[in-house]
Parts: sequence; structure tokens; C-alpha cells
Amino acid sequence: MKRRDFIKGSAMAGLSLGLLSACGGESSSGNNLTQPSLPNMPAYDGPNPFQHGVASGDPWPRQVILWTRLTAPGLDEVPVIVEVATDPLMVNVIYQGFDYARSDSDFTIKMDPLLPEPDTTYYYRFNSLGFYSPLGRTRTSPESDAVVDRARFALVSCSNYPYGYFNAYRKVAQRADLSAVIHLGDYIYEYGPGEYEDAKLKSQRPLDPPHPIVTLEDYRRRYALYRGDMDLQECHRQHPFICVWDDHEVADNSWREGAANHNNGQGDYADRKRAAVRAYHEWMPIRAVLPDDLVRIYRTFDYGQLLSLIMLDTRLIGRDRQATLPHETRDPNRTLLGLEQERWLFDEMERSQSRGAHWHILGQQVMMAHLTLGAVIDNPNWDVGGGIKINYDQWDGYYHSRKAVLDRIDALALDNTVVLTGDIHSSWAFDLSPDPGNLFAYNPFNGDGSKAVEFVVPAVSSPAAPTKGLSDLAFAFLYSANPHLKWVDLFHRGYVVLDITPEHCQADWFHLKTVQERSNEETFARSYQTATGRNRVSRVKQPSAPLPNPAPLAPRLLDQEVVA
Amino acid sequence: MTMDRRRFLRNLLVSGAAVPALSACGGGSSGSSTTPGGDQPMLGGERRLRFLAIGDTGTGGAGQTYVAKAMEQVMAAQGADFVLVTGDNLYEEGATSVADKGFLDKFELPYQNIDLPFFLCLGNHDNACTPLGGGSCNKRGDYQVEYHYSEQRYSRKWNMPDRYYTQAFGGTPEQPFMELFVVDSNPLTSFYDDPDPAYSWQNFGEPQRKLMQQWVHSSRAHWKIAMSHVPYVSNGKHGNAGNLDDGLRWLFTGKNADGRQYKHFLESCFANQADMLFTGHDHNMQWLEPRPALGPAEIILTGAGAKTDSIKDAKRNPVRFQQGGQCGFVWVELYEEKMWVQFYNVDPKKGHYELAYEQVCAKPIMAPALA
Repeated sequence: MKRRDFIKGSAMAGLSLGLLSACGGESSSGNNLTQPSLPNMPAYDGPNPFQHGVASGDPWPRQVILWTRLTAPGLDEVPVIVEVATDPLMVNVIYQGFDYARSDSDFTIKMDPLLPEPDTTYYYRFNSLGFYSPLGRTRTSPESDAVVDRARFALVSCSNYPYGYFNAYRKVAQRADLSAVIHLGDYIYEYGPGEYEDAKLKSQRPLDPPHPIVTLEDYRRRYALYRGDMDLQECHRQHPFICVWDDHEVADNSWREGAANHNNGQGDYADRKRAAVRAYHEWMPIRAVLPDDLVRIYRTFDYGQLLSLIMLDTRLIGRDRQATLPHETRDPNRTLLGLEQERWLFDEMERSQSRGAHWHILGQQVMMAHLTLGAVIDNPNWDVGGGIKINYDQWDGYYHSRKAVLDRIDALALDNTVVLTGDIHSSWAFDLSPDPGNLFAYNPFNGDGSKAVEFVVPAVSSPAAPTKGLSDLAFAFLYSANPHLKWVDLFHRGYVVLDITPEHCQADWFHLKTVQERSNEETFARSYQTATGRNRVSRVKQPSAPLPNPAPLAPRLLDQEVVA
Repeated sequence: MTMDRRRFLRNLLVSGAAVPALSACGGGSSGSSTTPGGDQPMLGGERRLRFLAIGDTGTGGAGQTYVAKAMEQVMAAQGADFVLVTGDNLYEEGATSVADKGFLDKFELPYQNIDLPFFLCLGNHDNACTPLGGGSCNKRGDYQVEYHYSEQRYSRKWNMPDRYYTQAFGGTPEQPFMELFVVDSNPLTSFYDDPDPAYSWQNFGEPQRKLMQQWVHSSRAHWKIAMSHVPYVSNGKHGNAGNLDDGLRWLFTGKNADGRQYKHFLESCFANQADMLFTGHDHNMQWLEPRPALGPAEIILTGAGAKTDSIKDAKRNPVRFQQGGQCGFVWVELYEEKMWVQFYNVDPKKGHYELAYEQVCAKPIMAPALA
């Protein structure tokens, strides 16, 4: 309670508490608030304990999760102070608070301070044991009833450490005009050395722990390895993240009660899942939806009247086991989201529509569009239909779950639904139709009958097609077999910038030259947008323009000792 | 039929069955009565309400007549204030006009001795143009609504003020003792889609869902009872919403014939709100245990008002009672915090009837005490 009072007092009053004379800002307003006393720091003579940088995430209008981790062997329950300011020089400090780094949360710190202004960039840093953390930058979201004329997000997924350098994160970090970074999952990979990596990079990007990760300690070490990456650290330092997990945060092709990459020798899957989920919440800047149910991560962010960002979990909370035979995909009792999440999604879509949100954006993991070897007419009452599906791990393997979502979009007459997808290490743009192989239901030439659109995000580093030539070949085939597919690139890694205005929701794909070395080179690949009310994609020649006058990026300050 | 015969019948048939007063006019005496709605029978100072529930009735044949006879007996012995009908009021293809002979042969005559208001809901056969009951001719259901307002009706028993509607009983207008919520499930689940876009989910299903949800959630009725034709769960041949008519669906083309959207409809309107849900469609009697997604509501399927059908999969859903191969009806008495439910079997060949199952249980939804 004391801590809460302290935080409330300091946040409400917007006091610069003048704890740190280096920051100046001793307020001379003459108010007589008693200074809360700071906890005692233990003695420490090691190196800077902030080895894993800082991060922020899950922005609300007046709250953002702030994260850091302390590496100070031998110490436990170490106080860590955070300061938030409106400027990158930390002159105008508007919040101070503290928490303790403890062994039972792997010495990670997560704070959820109350901040004064929505839709505002803030700068923050931690200090502890006589050291400052790197300076972080974050941003609150607009109030849900605010009129917002533009928002930009970076979309990333599938970042596999031993498969290459995180140049995508590096490029995203350099963009100052983003509201947030949306990570669609596969933030880490569970494999051991030699299982899924670029052999050429073995010595440069060795795995830790050097075996498949199964226990809580394993998962924590794997997160620590990833967070040691300079480019990922930089990306977290500059932008708030909104994350959901995909399968590799636990194990390949995971579902509610198992995973393809889990065997009995690795113990009970439930224990592994619990460990993975716990480490995820310790290391990721995510706000728990329910304090006693960490598996529930589906949640919504309102960015003013412009958009609702509905983040889903198609992996752990509801998914039934992947089908193996075509007729199983049509079993009405199998579910991808689970009934509770599905009900929640329907309610959220309705809420989003009734609050007047312009765009309804579903941030999720696996491809929703049909992907077939040849789309044919489908009938919901036949146990076969639609053509031979390629991947039962996607929504294709859960026919009725997908139909339910598209039916709700149709029933609500919900315009402007955009599905964002990761998982498959490649770039795609789709019209979403319940029956894309049926000319009466969907016209591939002008998009009539399309209910929504889907943008699929390429990988940060995980590979897809081995060569560009194969990718082009596959594109030629898939394009003719799937009339609702507008574009696919199976070769390049990269990221997407999503630019949203009341007129359009546009995805700009940026592809990297290489992930085999640290590199700044990227190329603009393609842009597709859906214009308001059209519910179909159309190609745009140019990427969207950057925002004018974004808040400056957080400068890289040299670590400095805290002046007592 | 001629006008003369119709007029003659109108005079012959009992007319003027009054709806239990909705107003809080009290019993005339002012003052000492603490409970409003003094028109209600009291038992030990408690309000109560009794009704019969039947369904899939409209054959005009022996089964319907035998059930009606048995209802008369039970009514005489135990009393009843009104009758619920869960749909398929006029087999096999509904009515083709408000003057359709079916209203007489399949409703008025069989129930001529039951002097109570009937509250009906629409079934798939009420909206069909073939004996299959495909439900793709929703216009036909409108004639049954028209009949409610028709000057030409034979009696005043038929109540269907709209395709979907609510009706309050007892108490005060602000806080009825019971409110009935009647769903039109046909356009939501029909085997074949109605070519008329007015009945699409977008134009009919969703507006109905939103309105129904609003009615139910804003209602301050003590008892909330939902009625629909197509089952939410059933151990009969039609099965559970979400997988209706499994094994037969390949014959259908209706986009929502599996009832998945319909399941969401019922849950979003009635979950943790309704005390009971009455459905029909399967021609048997079932009392199904509450389902988590619908909250504590007791689910009763009463579709044996004229035809019989077997229980197809007795283990599909947990039940308190189920019986196939017999006609029958349900009698319910609601008290303040209790309900008494009786299932009656009626032999479809001979007309013998008997009490098959009864149970008194607590009101499923315990309302918070109103300050």
C-alpha cells in the first residue's frame, strides 16, 4: 500500500522528486509533500547490472509497462528506481517509483506507472546499485474516444537467433514515427544447437542454453540470450511492444495440451507450458490480463476512434490438436480459439463497431486465408470442400472456427477488418472470403465478396524458401491455385509498416538484403492497402509517407554512475 | 371454407381468453396488499404462475387431439394460466394466407376446450414451401403474425404479435413476475437459405440478436424464460446447435444450417440471464442439464405435441429426463424461488396419458436482492 501511495502521489502531483541532483529539477513550487523515503541500496561493486536493456509495452492512454532486468550475482531483492520524463534529457521528470528485483521473477522488473498524458512519447530509465540503465522511449496510446487521424505500427514475427542477425529489429528501431511495434509471435525458438539454425553462423550466434529448452530455467536463459542481442535491445529501447506468443515460445506446433516438438522424454507438457508461459511474462513487457491466469493473453488496445487492435492467442489457450486428415478439419467440435476466446472476440468485434472504431485489426499468429492446391467451390454442409489444404496448423485446419469468425464479420456487416499474421516466414496479401473458389461468392477479378483482408508478415530471421527462384515458382503456382491471393514472397526476411488513416489501412513490406551479417540495407518490396469500406486489397506503388515531426528517438547515453 | 361456417365456428368456439393482466391494478382493494399484481393466485402468500408447454403441434391429427385432451385434464386438475408452443404450429408448409384453413384445423379445433392464451413461436415448417420444412420461405411465417391481428380469427387464443417478441406476466409493468422471450430461429438455421435478403443474418439475424439481447438484459422480470424452435442442445435427431442435423447436412445448402451462429445467438442473449429455455424441433421430451455456456438455465425440449420421434443419442448431453416414442407436454408452476416441472406422456395411438417425470427445483438464477 505504501508503494502504491507513493506512486500515486508522485504521479498525480507530477512531482520531480529531486532524488537525483544530476537531473536538476528540484521543484521550487513550495509544496510541503513529505518525500517518500527510498529503500536502502545494498553494497555492490560489480559492473553495470543492466545487461539486458530496457523495454516497454502494452500501452494504454495513461499506463505503459516498463521493464528491465538486473544482473547482480549474489544479491536478491534489490531495489530498482524508475524515472519517467517528457524529454530525452530527463529534465522534466513526471514520475518516479521503485520496485524490487527478485529471484522468483528472474530479477526482472515490471512496472505499470500512471502517466499524465495519452498519446504522448515519454522517456524513462532505471537506476539501481549505483548505475543507470540505458535510456528508454515509449508512448501512451490515445484515449479510446479521441479523434486520431493517423497511426503507424511496425509488424514483426519469427525472430530466430541462430538463423541470422536481427537487422529487421535494427531497422524498426530507427523509425521514429511508430506508435508501437506489434510482435506476432515466435519471439524465441525452443531448439537446441544444430536443430534449426544457419550453420555458417554457429560460432557467431551460439545458443544458450546449448540444448532444447524445457525447464523454467532453460526458458529464462533463452530469453536472456535473445535480450543480449544489440538490435533487439535497441528496438525495445525505442518503442513499446505489443506481443502475443506463437508456438515456438513453447515448442513447435503447440496446442492446448501438447506440441509436435515435445516428447515424453522431456517430461510433462503441462509443466513445460507452465514454465514457458511464466518465463514469457517475466521477460516480455506484457500486462497480465488476469493476475491468476497467465495463459490468457488475448486482449484489446483502442487507438482512439481510429482502430481497435484485438490481439488473439491461436496457440495455447484453446487450440485443439492439429488435424491429420482432411475430414478432421471440418469437425465442428474442434476449435482454434477455444469457445471462451471466440465469444470474447465476437463481443470485442461488436464493441469495436459500436464504439465507432474505424478499423478492427486482429493481431494473431497463423494464416486465416484458405491456402490450397486449387481452390474449388465449398459448401459448409459437406465434409469435404474448398480444395486440398496445404497446412493444417493454420486456420485451414479449423474450418468451423474460421467460418464462425467470417460469419460474424458478415452478420455484423463489419467493414474494415484487417487480419495480421506471422508464423510462416514469408510475405502475403489476401482477400478474405469464406469461399474463395466459388465465383458466386467471391470475384477474384475485382474482389467482390471479400469480407476482410489479411496481411502476412515476413520473418525477422527465420527462413522460408531457399532461393528467390523457388519462391517465384511457388508464387506462380499458388497464385493460380488461390484466386484470393494477391501477392506472396517466400524468400525475403523483413518487416511490415502498417499505416492507418480513416481512408486506408496500408501495409508496406520492407525486405532485408541479408541476415547473415549486421546490415542496414533494406529495400521497399511492395505495398497493399485496403481502402475504407472496400474490404479487399489493392496494390499501391509507393510506401506510405513517414509522419512529420515525430518525437526524437532516445539518444544513446553513456552509462554513468548515479550521483548520490 | 365459407364465411358462414367461419362465423358459426367463431361463435361456437370459446373466445376471449384473457391474457393475465400486466397492469398492477391490484385486486381492486387498495392498501394492505404488499405484493403488486394481486390478480395472481397466491399460495401461502407467494406469487405463482402455471403454464403448459407443447411444441411441433400443427398436424390436426390424432396425436395433437390426444395431447390436447390430456392437457384439458391436467389443466382441470392443477390449473394453468397460459400455454407455450415452441413452433411448427402448422404442418407441413405453414400458412399460405391469413385465411389458411390450417389455423382452424391445426390450432383452433384441437384446442377448442382449452380456454387459455397460447404464445407461439415460429418453426421451420411454419416458414417452408415444401414438406421438407426447409425453412426458405419466411414470408409464410408472416401470415401467422397477421393472424394474431386478424379480425377473422376464430378465437383470441393465438398470440404471436411479431416474428420474435416478449411478453410479461404478473407483477408490475416495471417488474413483471415473469417475462417470456420468443426467438424466431428459422432464418438463423434454415436448411436452405431464403433467397429474400430480408432474412439474411445481416438483415434479420443480427438485428434480432441485438434487440433480444437488449430486451433480456434490460428486463427486470423476476423469472426470465426463453422460447425458440430449434434446440440449443438435444439428444434427438436434430442434435446440438453448432452441429445440427449431423449426417443429414450434406443434403442442405443453408449457410448456417449447422447452427453455430445460432448457438452464439442464444448464448449472447440468454447466458446467465434466462432461468429456462424451451425448444422443440425434435418430436420427443427432454429435460437437459444446464450447460456452462448458457449459465444455470434449465433446458427443456418439448416437441412431442403431435408427432413422435425416438431419442437418437441418449448420451449426447446429460439429462434429467428424456423420453422418445411418445407424445406429451410439460406443465410448469413457478413460485417465487422454486419451480415445479412435470412431464406428461400421451399415447399417440390410444390417448392414455400419465405423469412420466416430475421435479421441484430452485430457481436457477438467484437475483441479487433489490435495494
